[in-house]
Amino acid sequence: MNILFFYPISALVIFLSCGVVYAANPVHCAILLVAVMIGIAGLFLCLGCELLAMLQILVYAGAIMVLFLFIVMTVDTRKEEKFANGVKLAQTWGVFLSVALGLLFLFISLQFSRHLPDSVKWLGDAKSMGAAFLNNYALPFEAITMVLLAAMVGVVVMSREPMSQGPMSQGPTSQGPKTASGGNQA
Amino acid sequence: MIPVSHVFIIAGFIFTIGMVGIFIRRNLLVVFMGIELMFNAANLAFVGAGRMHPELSVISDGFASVPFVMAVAAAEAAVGLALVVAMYRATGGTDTDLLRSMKG
Repeated sequence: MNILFFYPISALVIFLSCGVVYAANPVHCAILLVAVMIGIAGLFLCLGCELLAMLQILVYAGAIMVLFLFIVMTVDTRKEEKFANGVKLAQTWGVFLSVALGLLFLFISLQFSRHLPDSVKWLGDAKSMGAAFLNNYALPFEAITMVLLAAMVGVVVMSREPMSQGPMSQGPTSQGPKTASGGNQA
Repeated sequence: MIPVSHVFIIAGFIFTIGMVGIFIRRNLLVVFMGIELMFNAANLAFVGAGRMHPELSVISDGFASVPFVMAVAAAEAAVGLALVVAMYRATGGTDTDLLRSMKG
């Protein structure tokens, strides 16, 4: 049953993630990335973790990608012409090294000869995951809440209007008169 | 009967595509999308590795690591998008070639 869906979904996910990298318009990239997230949630379901699949859809496709789309539509992005300023040496070496890393992953993956069991024994259901988070993983769970809190405070601090009168934007949006007390909080 | 190596190979493909996207794209938002792809590939590999040992009756570490990766990815996305907004205020665009004030 799950092998029937696993390979088509994984082919679709790889194809769509190529589209994320290739599409010129960032809105198209974001929409394709939503599709990739939903496909990966399908792969989680094929691998037998229904809670993680639901979390993937809720957290990634629901929250993070909405945040991405919000910023993409807030910020004025243009279509980028690929390699408009020429191909840099760093880009060439970066692609070369990533492909080398991918080949290394391929080589390491082929060392595992074990097969995933076909019998559906749900290890990733909400009950066992919740029990794990309250027993074995209680300390990392509390630590990750601190990480999220720190990120939240950091974002609030970063997105404030800067106090000092630095060289502000010469962009198209800075024509309005600035109040002295930092009025326009976005 | 899915071999666990196939899960790892697919995760490696997605990771490599995300990393190539980081290197070849110049829009900072798409660079962050490449990072999200890499996080997802890591999650997929975690789930495959957690599924590998079914004889364990307790929950495996592979499954339990995935929500932590998701939380870190959420924090990274929030901070990264705040950086994008700050860059847009400072330079008027999201192209990474605009960031050259530290270039010698």
